Amino acid sequence: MMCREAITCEQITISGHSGRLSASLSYGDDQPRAVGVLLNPHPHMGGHIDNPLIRTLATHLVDAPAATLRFDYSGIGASAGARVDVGESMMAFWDTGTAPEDQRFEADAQAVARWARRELAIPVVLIGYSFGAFLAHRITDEQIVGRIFICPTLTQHAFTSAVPLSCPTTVIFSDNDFATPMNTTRQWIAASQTTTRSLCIPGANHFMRGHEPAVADECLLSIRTWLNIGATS
Amino acid sequence: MSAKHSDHPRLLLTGATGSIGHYVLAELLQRGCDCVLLLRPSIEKSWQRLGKLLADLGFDVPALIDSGRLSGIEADLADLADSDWPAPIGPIDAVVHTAASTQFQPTAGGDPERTNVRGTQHLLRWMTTHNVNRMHLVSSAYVCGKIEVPVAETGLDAPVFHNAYEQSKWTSEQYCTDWASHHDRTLTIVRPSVVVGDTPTGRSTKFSGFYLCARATELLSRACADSPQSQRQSIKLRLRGYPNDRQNIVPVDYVAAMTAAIVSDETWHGRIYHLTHPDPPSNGQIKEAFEIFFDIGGGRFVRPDAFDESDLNDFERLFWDVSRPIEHYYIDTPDFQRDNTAEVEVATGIHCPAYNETSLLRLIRYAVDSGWGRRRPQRLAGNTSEYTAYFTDFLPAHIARSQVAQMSGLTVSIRFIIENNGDNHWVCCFDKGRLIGVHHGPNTVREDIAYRCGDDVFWEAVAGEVHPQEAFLDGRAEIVGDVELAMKMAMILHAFNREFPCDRRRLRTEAVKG
Repeated sequence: MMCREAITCEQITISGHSGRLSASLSYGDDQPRAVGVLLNPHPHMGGHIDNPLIRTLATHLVDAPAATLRFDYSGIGASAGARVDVGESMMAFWDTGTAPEDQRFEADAQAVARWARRELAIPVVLIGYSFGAFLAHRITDEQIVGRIFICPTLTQHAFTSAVPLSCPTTVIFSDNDFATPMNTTRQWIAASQTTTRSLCIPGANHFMRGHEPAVADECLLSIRTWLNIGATS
Repeated sequence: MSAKHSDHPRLLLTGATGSIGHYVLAELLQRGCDCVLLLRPSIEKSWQRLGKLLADLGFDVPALIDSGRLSGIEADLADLADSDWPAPIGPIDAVVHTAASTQFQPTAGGDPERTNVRGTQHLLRWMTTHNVNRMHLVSSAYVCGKIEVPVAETGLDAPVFHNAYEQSKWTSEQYCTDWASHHDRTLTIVRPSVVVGDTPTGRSTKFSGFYLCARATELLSRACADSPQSQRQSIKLRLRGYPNDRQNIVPVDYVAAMTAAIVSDETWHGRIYHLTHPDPPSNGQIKEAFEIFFDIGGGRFVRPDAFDESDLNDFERLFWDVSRPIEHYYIDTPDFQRDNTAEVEVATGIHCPAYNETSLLRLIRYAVDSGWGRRRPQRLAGNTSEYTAYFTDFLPAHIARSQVAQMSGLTVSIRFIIENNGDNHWVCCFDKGRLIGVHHGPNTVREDIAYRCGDDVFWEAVAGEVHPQEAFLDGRAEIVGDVELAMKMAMILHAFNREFPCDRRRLRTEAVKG
C-alpha cells in the first residue's frame, strides 16, 4: 500500500500481549538511518494508527531519513484482543482518565519496540504522544537511542523510572494542554537530566490540530541531531 | 447508609402517572426497586401515558415490564373496595402513596376528599388485610394550614385550613397515623412544599401553584403586545404582598430523589420530612424573572392591608383573579423546620439547589415551550424534520437500552450545533446516564460542552460511520467548552452510535409519515 508518492507502507503483524498487532512500517527511497516507533495516545482519546498527528509523523520522518513503525494497541482496529469500547472501560476512563486495559497497552508497546530493534537492525527512537509518551518513558531498553515525548501526560501518569533513562530526550508541548499545564511540563524538563531539546508550540492544545507539521519538524531535527545526520537538500 | 429493605425491595406505588409520582418511580427504579403500580382504567392508556413520561426521563417501560421490574394493577383507588383488588399481587415490602388530587376546592366528582381521604382509607384497609406494614405517604407541607409559628416535622393538631386540599391531606395523614399506631407498622411522611419543574431543564407535567402567576404575567404581556416598549415597562400593576416574602418552591427531581432515598433506607423510616427549600426565592426575585421573560415591567408590591379589591384596574383584576387561590403561597408564608430533612441531605449528598434568575427563567421557558402542558416542548408544532425525529424519537428510544444508560457517573449537558441552512441547535441533558431532556433552539438550556459540525458529518457520526473524535481531529467538527470532557463524551457517543446506528433515510420516511 502506498501512503504517498516516494513512501512505501508495509502492513505487518507483530506478536503483542493479546495476539497479533496490526502495524504499518513506512519508509522512503533513501536507506533509513533509524526507525521511529510511534506510540499512540490512549484509544479512548483518538489513539489509533490513523491519528492525524501519528499519520503526519509517518510521512514526514522519511526525510530524516527514518522509517516509522505505527500500530494499533490490542483490541483496537485490526489488532487482535478484546475490544475496549465497552461500558466499564469507558466509565473508568470518564472518571479517571485511565482504563483497565492500560497495562496491556504498555505490554504491546514493549513488544513493538523489541520487534523494531530485533528485526530492523537500525537505531530505534521512541516517539510517544500523550499516553504514548508515558509508554515511551516506560520502555527501558538500553539500546534506544532517543525518546520524543509529545504532550506528555505528566499529571496523569508517574514519569519516574526505576531505571534512569540514559538516552537523550526531546519534549514537545503546547501552552494550553488540558492534560498537563505548561508550567508543569517546564518544571519537569528543568529537572530532567536527559532532556536535551524542548519545544513549546504556542496556540496549540493537547491535540496539536493544525500544528502537526511543526511537531514533525522538531522530531526530524531531534533524530538528525542524535544520529549526527546533516540536512538533505 | 447501611440498613435497607433488601437488595431489591418490591413496592406498591400509587400515582405513578402523576407529576411527582413518575419522578419518584424513576428514582426508585434507578435504586433497584421493583415496582407494582396501581394504574387507573384503562390500564392500556395508563401504560401508554406512563411510557411517554418515563421515556422523557430515560427509561424504557416495555423493557422494564419484560424484565419483571415493573408490573401493574388496573384500579381506581378511590372506588376500590378490598374485594375488588385483583389477586395475586405477590409480596409487597412497602407502599409508596403519591396519588393525590390537588383540587383546592371540592369538585362535583368529590375530589379532593374522594382521592386523598377515601383513596387512602382503601389503601390502608388493603395493607391491613395483606400484612403490608410499611407506608410511605407523600403529603404536603401545607397541612399546617394558617400558622404563625415555625412548622415542626411532627404530627399537627387540626389547624385552620386555607382550602379543601389542605384539609384532605391533613385528614389523610391522620388516618395513616392511626393505622401506624398498631404494632409493627411504620409510617413515613414526606411533605413537599410547592413542587415545580426539575433542576436541569425545568420540565414539569403540572402547571399550577407557582405557574399561575407566570401565566398571569404572560396574559398581561399579550394584552400589551402592541404597546410601545416604554408603556410595556411601566404597566400600572399593584401586587398584593411583600417583595421579601418567600415562595417555597422545590424542584420535582429533588422531591423524588429525597423520597426514594428515604424509602430505600430503613434508617429514615418512621419520621416526617419537610421537603421544603432551605432558602426559597423571594417574591421580588420571582417577579423580576417574570418581567424579564415576558418583557414587561412596572408592577409593584402593596401591603396586603393597603390592597383595595374594589379599586383595581383591568390588569390588576386579571392578576388578582388568577393568583388569589394561591396567595397563601407567597404572603405570610410558613417557616418550615427541616432538621430531619437536613439529616438525610447530609447523609445522601442530595441537596435542594438555590434558585437564581437563570433557574427561574428555565422554569418559565419550559412551561411556555410546552404550552403550559398542552404539548411536549421538544416536538415543535408542525416540525417533522429528520433532526426532530432523531433527537426526540430515535435518541430517547434507544439510549435507555444502551450502555450509556449504565453509566451512573454520566451527568452532562451537550449542545449539538448542526450547520444546515443556518444553525440547528439541540441540547441533550444527561443525569446519571439517563437522557432526561432534549431541547431545541439556541437559547434554551445552558450546556457543559458543545459540538459544531456540518450536516454531513452529523449524519455520518450518528450512523456510526465516523468517530466524533476523528471528526474533530481532522478539523471537520469543532468543540466549544471543555475539550477533554468533550473528547471523552465523544468516545461514549461513538459507542452509542455503533450500538444503535441511525439510518437517515428511515428517519426521513418516518418523519414524513408524522
